[in-house]
Parts: sequence; structure tokens; C-alpha cells
Amino acid sequence: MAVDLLNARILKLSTSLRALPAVLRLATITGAGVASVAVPNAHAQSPEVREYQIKAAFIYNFIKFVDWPRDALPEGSETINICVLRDDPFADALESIKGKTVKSRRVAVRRIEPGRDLETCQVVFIGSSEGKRLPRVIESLQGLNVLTVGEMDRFVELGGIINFFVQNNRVRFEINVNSAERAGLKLSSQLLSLAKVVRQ
Amino acid sequence: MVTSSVTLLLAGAAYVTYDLITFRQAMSRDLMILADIIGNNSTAALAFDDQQAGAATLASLRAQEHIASACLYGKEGRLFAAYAPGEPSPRPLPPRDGCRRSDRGHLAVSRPIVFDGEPIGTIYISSDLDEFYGRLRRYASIGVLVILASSLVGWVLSVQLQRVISRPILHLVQAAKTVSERTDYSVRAVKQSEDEVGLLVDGFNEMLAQIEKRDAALTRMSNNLNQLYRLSTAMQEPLSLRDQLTRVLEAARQVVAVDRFYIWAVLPGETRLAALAGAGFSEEEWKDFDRVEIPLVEAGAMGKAYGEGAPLVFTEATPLPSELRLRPPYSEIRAIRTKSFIVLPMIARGRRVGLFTADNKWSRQPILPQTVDLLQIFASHAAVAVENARLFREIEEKGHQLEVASKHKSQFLANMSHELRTPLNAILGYTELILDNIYGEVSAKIRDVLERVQKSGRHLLGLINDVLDLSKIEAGQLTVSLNDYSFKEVVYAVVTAVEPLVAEKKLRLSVSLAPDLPVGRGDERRITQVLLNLVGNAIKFTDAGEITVRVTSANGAFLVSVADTGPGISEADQQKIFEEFHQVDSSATRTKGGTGLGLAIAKRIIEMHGGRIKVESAPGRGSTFSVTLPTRVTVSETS
Repeated sequence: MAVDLLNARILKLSTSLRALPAVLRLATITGAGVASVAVPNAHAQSPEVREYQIKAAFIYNFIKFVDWPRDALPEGSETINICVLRDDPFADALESIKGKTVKSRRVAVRRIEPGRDLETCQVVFIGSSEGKRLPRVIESLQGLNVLTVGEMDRFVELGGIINFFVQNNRVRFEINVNSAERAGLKLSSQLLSLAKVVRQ
Repeated sequence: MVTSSVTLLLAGAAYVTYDLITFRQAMSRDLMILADIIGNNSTAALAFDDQQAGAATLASLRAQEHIASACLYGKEGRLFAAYAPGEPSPRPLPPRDGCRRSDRGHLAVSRPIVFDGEPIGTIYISSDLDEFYGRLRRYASIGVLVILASSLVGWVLSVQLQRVISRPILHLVQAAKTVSERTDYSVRAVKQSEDEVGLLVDGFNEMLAQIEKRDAALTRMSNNLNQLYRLSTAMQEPLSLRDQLTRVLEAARQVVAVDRFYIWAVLPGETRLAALAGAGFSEEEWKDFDRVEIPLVEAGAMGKAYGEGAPLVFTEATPLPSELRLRPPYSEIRAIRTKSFIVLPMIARGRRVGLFTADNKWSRQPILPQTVDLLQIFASHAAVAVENARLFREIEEKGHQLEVASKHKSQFLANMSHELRTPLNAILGYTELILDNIYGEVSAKIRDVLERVQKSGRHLLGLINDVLDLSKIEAGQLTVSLNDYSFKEVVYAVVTAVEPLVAEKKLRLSVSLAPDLPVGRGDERRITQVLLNLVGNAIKFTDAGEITVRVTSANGAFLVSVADTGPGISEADQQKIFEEFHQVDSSATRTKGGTGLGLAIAKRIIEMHGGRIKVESAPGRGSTFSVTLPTRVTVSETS
């Protein structure tokens, strides 16, 4: 998909540019550093706090690279809701993105209980505390256009869409593109190029 | 050749410049698009702060051989990733110096990267200009090749064109040069082609032809004028009328292309024509023709032309109508018979004096209308000659008549004077005898009457003598008899004669004679008469004062002056006093007496001696008469 998109754009350009490599970018799992945009004064905090600040910034950025179907994000809606399921590991980290504008909408953060109000969420963060209940949670989200973000082993294998993991002391993420398709979401090839892609 | 090369070069340079500018703009645009693509592909890497991913994106520029360097900058201008060709792999870390913003000899663009309405970084790409310079070099070599090739083609073409254009033009120039050097307008250029140059040659030849034609016309006209000029000069020579007319006709023959010319004069009485002169005749013809006389009424066309005073032209096409033919027997004169001829009346000072005729008896060609004007000129020349001859004859005749009449008059006067003198001498003689008491004592009363008779008789005798002298002079009968004389004697004779008169009027007479007066030769009696007349006049018109007679000699002449203190003579009258029967004031004739002939006679006598007489005077200043008389007259001058 990434290749097609690139080629489609390049073909419109002059011949001198035609020689751009077909594969601009191999999907490799690469480290992602601190998103300085979202995380001011990051160096002053503890590693724990800093990790969640980075994750919060990543979630904010994910929204930019994900397209929701029109029903899930109707015209005229004012907010994009980031819902945190049950236990909130972010503490105040999500406050830094709360109220910011993305896709012309304000970012709102809500805490929810399983099985309730899920249809108003565009992004649902599922913390590690929900590990055992994950299959159920995933099931409850079936049919909804919700970007699920988690931070536990086998999250994407069990049907989650984006999962954070830490490698070489850097926050990275893996993406299950099939899950995303099932949720009716379109992910930017650029996002995929930064992620470890899983198909299941 | 040089011009076209320069033009080609300029046009080429302009095109190349335009192309290079366009090319550079296209390069710049392409580079900008490339930067935008790379920038777009780098948004995720920038957003997730993945430098390795950014470097990998930049590394895709490896396929672009002209990219010199590329850099991705983060939101705060922090160097995020960099690319430089030749590096083995994309580097996540920035190179030492990053991207220089002002690479010389490079084309660089810098574009902001905007994602979701938010600027998230900047991309900078710099391209070398190898392609640009390569194009420039290519153009330069192509340009040199094109100029070389076009020069070669141009040279070949010009060699060919020279054959087509230059050669005929050079030929034309040569012809023009020949014409101007030799002033020979019969030269013609040879036409070699039917193009513009051919037309030029045609035009040149046409021009020459016209000049030649005009030249010939001018020569002919100048020749005609020359003939006419010589003719009018000849007319002033003292030639007989026949000779003059022959000259006119010969001149006409040289100017006008007509076979024969002849002139008829109308004889006094205007009833007959006489053949006066001709040209172009054979001797035989002329014998037939010379001095033929034809009555005007029988002369046909000639009679008509003379009668109407207008020219008539006949040709074979417009033949002579039968009523205008010559009547027999004149029609039998073969020399006259012709079919193509012109008759011009000759008119001088408004008088018709004859006919000027020209014919083409031999060539039978019609007389050309344009020659009529010329013929008219010759006709009027001939007319003037005829008329002049007539006038001259007339004047000669009148002069002769006048001369005879004048002679008769003078003879009559001379006879008359002589006849008058004879009885008068008898009267005077007897009166003197009576006064001398020959016939007895005469009473004082009768003596007084007789003295008056004597005085009047002497006056009358003087008058008769003067008239006789004058008539002798007029008749050419007055002669001078040349003898040696002494002017001193002349002066004393005069003084003796006038002394009683001077004494009577109580005037003073002084005489001044140069001591060395030469012996003169002339008519002493006449010279005495002149001096007596001058002194007598002086006494007669002077009431008080003196009369001075002065005689000197110089340059072979006596210089005589008689000065008085009389009333003087006005300037206008000084001209008239030497004319016959003239006195200054006609009233003076009555008081002073005299005939008024004295000075006229004196003047004639002095002139007969080859001398001069003049007067200097002004009213109230007296008069001085001066005579210059040759000392020795050799031949008497008859007046």
C-alpha cells in the first residue's frame, strides 16, 4: 500500500523524478525518540513519567495519521475523544494533549468503564491492567470504528491495532494492519513505515 | 556574410539565453516539487521524531544524481536528518556541517513541511548545476557547429549567386563606364537573364536609347539654328536679291528634307508671278523654269494661296483639285508639274510679296506636317529679302528725285541772285555817279535821298551775295582757291574795313597778333569774309565796351578768337546761330539788319578749309567766337 501511494504521486511528476526508488522505505521497526512537539521539559521528569508523556504525544500523532470513516467522525463534530479504559497509567501526561486541535477538532480525554460509552470514542487506550480481559474488550469494540492502542505483549495478536513497546530504551509501536482494516480505519503508509507491522 | 553570421550568433545567443533561463526555472520548479515530495514523506518521521526514518527518506534521493545535499530540519530548526551523495547509507545523525545554505554553483530550495495545518519542519535540497552547465556546453558546441556550417553554405551560395547576380551587374557597370568615358551612347549592355537584373539591363539600354535619340534631336536642332543664324547673317550682306534668295533656299535644303524649293515674286501691279530663285533643280529643269511669268489668275493653287494668304499642302493622297491646276499653256511647263507640294504665301511687314514653294517631285513623299513650321521660317526670310529689295529700290528712286530737285533749286537761286545783281549794280553805279556830281550839282535834299538809296542798295547787294554764296555752297559750286596768304594782312584788311563803324559806335577795337604767325595757305578772300563777318557781328550787337581780336598759331592751325562785350547768347540759341536764316532774336533782324546767313556761310567756309568754329557765351557776359583753321590747307573740302 505504501508503495502504491508513493508511485501514484510520483507518476505525476516530471521524468527526471521518475527514478525514485519504488520502495522508498522498508517497513522496519525503528526507534522513535522523544516527540518534542508534545513533550516540553521532558528531561526534567522521571523515566516513568517521561515514557507516558511520549506515549501521550504518540497517541496525539496517531490521530493525524489515521483516517476514520465519516460515520465515526461526522462532519460538524467538535471533539475527538481519547478514552482511557479503567486504570489510567498516564497520570497527568494526557493533560498536555487535552484541548489541542487535530483534524480541526479538539482533543478530549475521558475515562471509561468496559462496555460503556465505547461508541463515542475514536481512540481507546487499553492499559496493561486489562490484560486478562483484553479478548472481551476487543470483542466489545467489534463493529466500532475505534483505534485501539495498548501496551502489553500479544496486544496486536489478540486483535488490538497499535501496541507500544520499549526497545533499546526507546518507545516503539507495532501495528496490526488487519485489525485496523476490521475497524474500518485507514492508516497512513508513513505511520506504517515507522511501525513494526503485524498481519493476522 | 559577416552580418548574417552576427545575426545568426545574436539570435542563437538570445535563444540559448532564453532556453537556459527557462531550463533553470524548470530545474528550480522540479527541485521544489522534489522537496515537497520528500517533505511529505517525512512528516511521520518528523512527527514521531524518527531520525532514522527521516534519513531513509532522504536517502531515496540517491537516484537523483544531481542532488548535492539535502537536509531535514525539525520544528525549531534543529537538524533532523541529512543526505550527501556518496555516503554509503542513510545516516540518522546530522553531518558535521549540516547543509550549507549558500552553496556556490548550486541551485537550492528550502520548503516548509506542513502537516495537518501545522508546520512541523523544513526541508532543504541543493542540486548541482552540472546539468545546466552541460546544457550550456552542448549549446555552445552546437552554436559553433551551426555557424561553421551556415558560413560554409553561405560561401557556397554566394559563389553561386555571384554567377547569377554580380556578373550581369558588373557587365552593366562596365557598359556604363564605357558610355561615360567615350560619351558613346550607342553602347548597349547585353541581357543575360529574365530576372530583375535583366530588367535593369533593359532599363539601362532604354535610357541610353532615349539619350541617343535626344542627342540626335539636339544636334539636328542646333544644326537648324546654326543654318538660320548663318542665313540671317548672310541676309545682311550686300548681295543681289537673287543671290540672297538662293542662299535662303540652299539653307532650307540643308534643314528640311524636301526635293526642291522655289520662290515666286509678285510683280508690281500684283497681277503676275515671276520665278525668282530655286534650289534642287537640275540644270535642264532650271532652264525651263527660270524667269517664267504666270498671271495670278491662271496660277491655280498658287493664285489661291496668294489670294487667301494661307498655306496649301497637296500630296498624292490629297491631290490637287482640277480647278486649282495650272491653266494652259503654263501647265505644259514640265519643271513645275508635281503632285506633292506646299505653297506658302510670303508675307513681310503685312505685305504679300510672293510665294514660297517646296515639292517632292522625285521622292513623291508627302510634305511632313512638322516641316511646315520650318518652311514658314524660310518663307518669311525670303519675304523679308524680297521686301527689302523693293524698299531699297523705292528709296533709291526717291533719293535720286530729291537730288535732282535740290540741284534745280540751287541753280535757280544762283541764276536768280546773278540776275538780281546785274540791275542792282547799275542802280548803285548810277547813284554813285550822281552823288559824285557827274550829272551836275545835287541839292542837299536830293543827296540825302540818294545816300539812302545807296545804303539800301548796298544792303540789298550784301543780301544777294549771301544768298548767292549759300546757294553755291548748297549746289556744290562754292570752291576755294588755295593761295599763300598772311593772316596779318587778313586782320588789317578787316580792321581797316570796320574802323569807321567802330568809331561811329564809340567802341574800342583791340587786336592781338602773335609775332611769329606762319604763312597760311587757303582762300584768303573767303577767310577775310569769315573774319569780317565775325567782327562785323560783334560790332553790330555791342553797344558799349570793346571788341578783341586775337590770333595765335599752334599744332599747324591758326587759333582766332573774336570777343565782344555784347548781350551774350543763351545756351539754347548757341546751337541755332550757325543754321541758315537764323538770328537770336527775330526782332534783332529789324534793328540790326543782316540776313542771318553770315554765320552759316562762315561755318561752311571754315569747314571747307577743314577747320572748326564754335561759340562761348552766356547772357550778359558777351560772346567769344573761336575759329580753328588749319595753317596749310591742302585739299579743299566740299560740303
